[in-house]
Amino acid sequence: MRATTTAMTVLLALGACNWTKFDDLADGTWANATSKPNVKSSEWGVAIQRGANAADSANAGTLAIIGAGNTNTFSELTYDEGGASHFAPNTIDLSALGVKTIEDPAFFLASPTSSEVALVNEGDAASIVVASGKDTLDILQLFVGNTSLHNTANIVAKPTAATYMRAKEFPTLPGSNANPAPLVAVGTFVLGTIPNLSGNAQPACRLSDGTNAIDIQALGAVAAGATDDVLAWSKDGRLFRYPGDVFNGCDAAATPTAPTATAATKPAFNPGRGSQILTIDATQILLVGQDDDAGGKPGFLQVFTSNTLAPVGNPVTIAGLHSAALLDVGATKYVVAGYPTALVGSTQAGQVLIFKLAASGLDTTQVASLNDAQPEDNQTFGRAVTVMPYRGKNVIAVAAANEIFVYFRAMLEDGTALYDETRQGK
Amino acid sequence: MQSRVLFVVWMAICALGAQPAHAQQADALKKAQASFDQAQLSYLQGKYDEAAQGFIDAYAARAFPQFLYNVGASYHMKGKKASDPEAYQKAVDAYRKYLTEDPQATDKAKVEKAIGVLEAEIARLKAAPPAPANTGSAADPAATPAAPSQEVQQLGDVKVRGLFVIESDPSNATIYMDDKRKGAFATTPWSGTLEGDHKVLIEKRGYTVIEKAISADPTKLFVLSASMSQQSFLGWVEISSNVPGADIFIDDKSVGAVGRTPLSQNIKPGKHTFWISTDGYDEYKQEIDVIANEVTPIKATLKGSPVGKLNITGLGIEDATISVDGKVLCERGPCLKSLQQGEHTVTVTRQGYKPYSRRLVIQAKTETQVRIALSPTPSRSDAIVAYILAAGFGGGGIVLGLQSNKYDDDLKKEIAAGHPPPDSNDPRFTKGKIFAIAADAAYAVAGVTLLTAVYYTFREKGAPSTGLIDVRALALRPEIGPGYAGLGMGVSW
Repeated sequence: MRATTTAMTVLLALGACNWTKFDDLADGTWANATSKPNVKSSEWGVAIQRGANAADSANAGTLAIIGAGNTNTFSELTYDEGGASHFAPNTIDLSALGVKTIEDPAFFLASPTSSEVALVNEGDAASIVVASGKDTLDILQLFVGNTSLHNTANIVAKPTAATYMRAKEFPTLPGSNANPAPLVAVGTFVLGTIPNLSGNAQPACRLSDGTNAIDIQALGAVAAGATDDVLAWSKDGRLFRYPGDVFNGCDAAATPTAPTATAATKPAFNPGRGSQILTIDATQILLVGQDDDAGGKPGFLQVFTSNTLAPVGNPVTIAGLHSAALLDVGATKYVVAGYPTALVGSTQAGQVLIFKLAASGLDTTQVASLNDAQPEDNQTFGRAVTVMPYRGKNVIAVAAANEIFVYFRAMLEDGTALYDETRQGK
Repeated sequence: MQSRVLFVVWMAICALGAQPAHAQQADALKKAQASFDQAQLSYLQGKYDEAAQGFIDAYAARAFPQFLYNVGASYHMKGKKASDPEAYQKAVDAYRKYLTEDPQATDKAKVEKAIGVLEAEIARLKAAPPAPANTGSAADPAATPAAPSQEVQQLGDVKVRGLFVIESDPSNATIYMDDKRKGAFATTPWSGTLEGDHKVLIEKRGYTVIEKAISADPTKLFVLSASMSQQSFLGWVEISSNVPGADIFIDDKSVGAVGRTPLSQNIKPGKHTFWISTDGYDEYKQEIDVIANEVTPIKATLKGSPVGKLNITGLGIEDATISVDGKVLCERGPCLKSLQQGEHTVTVTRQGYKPYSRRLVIQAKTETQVRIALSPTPSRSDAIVAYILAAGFGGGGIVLGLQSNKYDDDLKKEIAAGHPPPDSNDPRFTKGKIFAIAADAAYAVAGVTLLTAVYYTFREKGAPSTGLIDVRALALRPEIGPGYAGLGMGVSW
């Protein structure tokens, strides 16, 4: 009897499963996935942006997240040195701050010089809300309409593009360009968000192709000395570069004039709302074109020179592009492009494709792809992508439906590392 | 009178006709029977003097001591009825003569006691004062006799006895009663009291064997007279052993014992094999060439061996097999066998019942009786159900464990491959964990269930089979029989 009992105990011990190994395995994965925390938004993660910049991310990383749906929220996830995510207690109810329905894709920007982020969206009472700040947000309401602003121009409340830029000093406001600030486009107008000016006092100006004002669908900024020049991608597919003093002559009480472009070109894509102009470096930019309203949801990725706006290399025209970000892993830069309606196998779960950037342009074949290892329909994986500074390096962050993925280690399809382990102790 | 008929059985076996001496004996027997019948009738009518005279006459015709007892009994009853010391005295005289004639009488003590009581009563009656003078008469026939003493009352009313007589011509033949294996009963002539149905066998060397079925009545006179014819072509064996009562087998043991020692009987001339055995002794075997008309003595010296008896009994034992030290002792019970003294393992098995096993120490000259009570073997269905459940849970645990391991393997491979890398929220971590926990839970339940099943298998369910052991001494005791004396084995406790 005793022998039987002993034998059975040994057998049971041998056959027993160690369930804690799954905890260890989960802790050892390359990607951290965080499900929607206790926030009021039913659509958490419609837009994401790096929170802290590289200078503020020496030991950790921060991700700023916009939630939409029944309630608009701003929240942050911090990632410790081990890669574990922590929900920061600074969730802001944007709806209470006058932010109306957040459009998809949202204009959620990151300052090029600080840890500040900015959300540009339609606000209450015929206004455009620019909520910007670090950890907390300041609200600037740009009142539009017939009586808004100084120029009495009829400006609608829905922004069509936005970018951070360091404009040239506003003539009547010395030091107004001390820090980059969002530049907001609404159709044929660009609006300033100059500090110390109220919403009613912000300048508004049209950008002209020399004859007519252009209908702006994307904005970008490239350095031009101490200030930035403005890049504008019009709805009819033309790309312009304007000098940074776009508001000169459009200041208060002045008749709005249309600054003349210093360069122009015609890329082979008519951008839709949410298209982006990303600055690769001082000489190159990346056009991220999408048009969710067009049939087939065409996508467009192509490198252009920033001075002459000449195309570099061939475009990537994979349909379904929704957002993109630039990844700098040191010697090489990559484009991280989100295709939230892409099929993974037979599942429309969404996918992120990674393309390599070179001096000759964009490698049109992706070098890596990311998707949920257990894909689900309508997961919208990649509906927003960004690159998060983390412990002195950059890591990819991907938003899906109510879930945020951060890849602390990534591999190229050729088996080499896109970037090695960034976490401590892993 | 009813059916009081005297029986006389005249066994004229010899075909040569009656011989004069035999005829004379027959006449005397008839006369004795007539007197006996009349005396018994008188006794029943309370005519004790006539009864006594009748028995005296019968005795005069055939001097059977029982007749003398009946004389005493007649006078005894007369004295008791009338407190007559003279009658008592006659009774005492008759009783004494009876004991003189039959010193081995089985009722000797009882008769001697009666003699003592009656003599005291005689003395008491003689010492009693005469009847009072004022009665006016020397003798009053209607006077009530003095009551018998308490001792006489305690003796009760005595009754006259019947008699069974076995005679043979020639006399001195051996009488066997019912079964020769019981041994010799007596030698002719014999008289005594018998009751019930019997088979009488009368045997004498050189004569044919007489065999007769009888129905004895203790109140009647029954005479069996055998006239035996000579057989000159047979031999005669006289078998004895130092242990009387030993079984005798001749030529074929399978037919059973032909008798017990001592035994004398006719046998065909020629070679014969004799086995003589009894419990507790080694078997004696001898081959002898028997010669016609000659006496062949066989004297067996049985050597004792240290054995005791094992007696297995109990309810349902007839369907049980009894084994000792792993060998079948009895295919079915009850089982009474001799075993060498020492320690033995006794096992009793019966289909559908729990076996009984016990180590016993068998002692020489003892009988170890074990009364077995076998308990039905309980059903093991509970254990079977538990085994099935354990197998089910174990199998479920294996399936769950394999599934968990599959998740583990898949995740490890995908993590190592890196494209796409599983994330920390991958549902397979939770599923694998759940499967692992479920597998362990199933293993645990299976283990507990299996332990329960093992317990159910080996547990003593229901009452065990039991045995009630009783050890009795098999003592050698003196035995005296007609024609032999020795030691016999009996059981006492």
